[in-house]
Amino acid sequence: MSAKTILIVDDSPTDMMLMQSALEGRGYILLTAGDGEQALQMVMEQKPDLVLLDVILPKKNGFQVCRQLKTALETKATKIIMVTSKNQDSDRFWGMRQGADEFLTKPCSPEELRRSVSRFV
Amino acid sequence: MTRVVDWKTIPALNRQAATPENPLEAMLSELLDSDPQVPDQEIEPAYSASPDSELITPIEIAYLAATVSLPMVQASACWYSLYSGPDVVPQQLIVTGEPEVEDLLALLLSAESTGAEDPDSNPDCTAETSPAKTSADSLPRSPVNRDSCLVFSLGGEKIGIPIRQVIELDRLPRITSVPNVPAWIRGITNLRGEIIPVLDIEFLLGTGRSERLERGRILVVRIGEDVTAALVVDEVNGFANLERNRLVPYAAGEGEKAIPPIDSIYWTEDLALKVLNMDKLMEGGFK
Repeated sequence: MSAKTILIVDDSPTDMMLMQSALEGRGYILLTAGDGEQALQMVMEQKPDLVLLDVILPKKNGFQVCRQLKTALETKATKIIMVTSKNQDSDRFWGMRQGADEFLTKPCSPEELRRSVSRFV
Repeated sequence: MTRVVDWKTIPALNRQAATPENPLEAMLSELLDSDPQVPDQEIEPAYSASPDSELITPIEIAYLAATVSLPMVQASACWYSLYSGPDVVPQQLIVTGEPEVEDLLALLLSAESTGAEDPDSNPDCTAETSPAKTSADSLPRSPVNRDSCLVFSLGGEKIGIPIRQVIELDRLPRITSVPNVPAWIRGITNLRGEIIPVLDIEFLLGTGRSERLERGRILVVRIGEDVTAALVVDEVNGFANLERNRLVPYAAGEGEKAIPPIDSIYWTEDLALKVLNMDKLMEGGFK
């Protein structure tokens, strides 16, 4: 079985590093993107199995990216976990309305992140 | 007037010395009973707010209730009362100059079993000089590789704030809205005659604003050298000693509208805790 690819999208160097650390050495191929536009481009080029997507991003926000990926024929099967500091019910509701498969509040522990990731890849 | 006393001259607060027979307990009970603003039920939340802490002796519970409810002893004392680990002994007790505190301090310092000295005659009891040699010197010290934080809940998330930035905890006061102020100021409140701003910590953290103003507590915090402000939180969970090597310095992303007052993320296998630094508010983003 080939290694699963995960794209981590976050503009905070700290959050990016924490998520990478939690998933490193687990058999995943990890890719990173620092803004919404770069994320869209990488999904089209690299076809990751899962996207960990922050909401507040430069250029295009996470909701926009999620909506775009989930409405395009070639990317709508890509699993998306929204990982964001916005922890209100309305944000969660809005994220799921955009087609996100799961919603995680950050910072999340390595254990919590890996548990969520393992549901999809 | 604020007075700083070396903890080691107050061995009556040593866990081993804190027994029901200790006269300090009676003193604290008296203090609690004599304050009409502290109903009995107020003691219970303070006691139960930290189920993870080792609140063992009655004296510690009483002491915590007194410090939380009477706002007379600052947060470093609360920290000791909650006592979150066997290897932690705070270095200083900071007390205000209120009469009850003077009485309490006198009783603490007169503990017979210790040979403690009067702080007025002992220059070592001030913050500026080295500590006196007492029998309490054999007590374990606060490890230098740990930071003590108060942990509170906000919108289901637990957040830490360095204990040195917390002045006191209190019940939620009346908050008066003020027009034409930044969105991160919820209003002002009257803290025993001092008008202080109430900050919207959820807005500052970018987690969105909640409407939970009808309940909760406030943390009165110090920002920079001389700014006092209040934060509305859902509940205070207790105190934690965070290992410094697990603190990851926080860098905000470019997409953030302003720099949140997050100093670091305390990150272990099963825990991720934001740790605040309120001084960041003075450094730019929210001026």
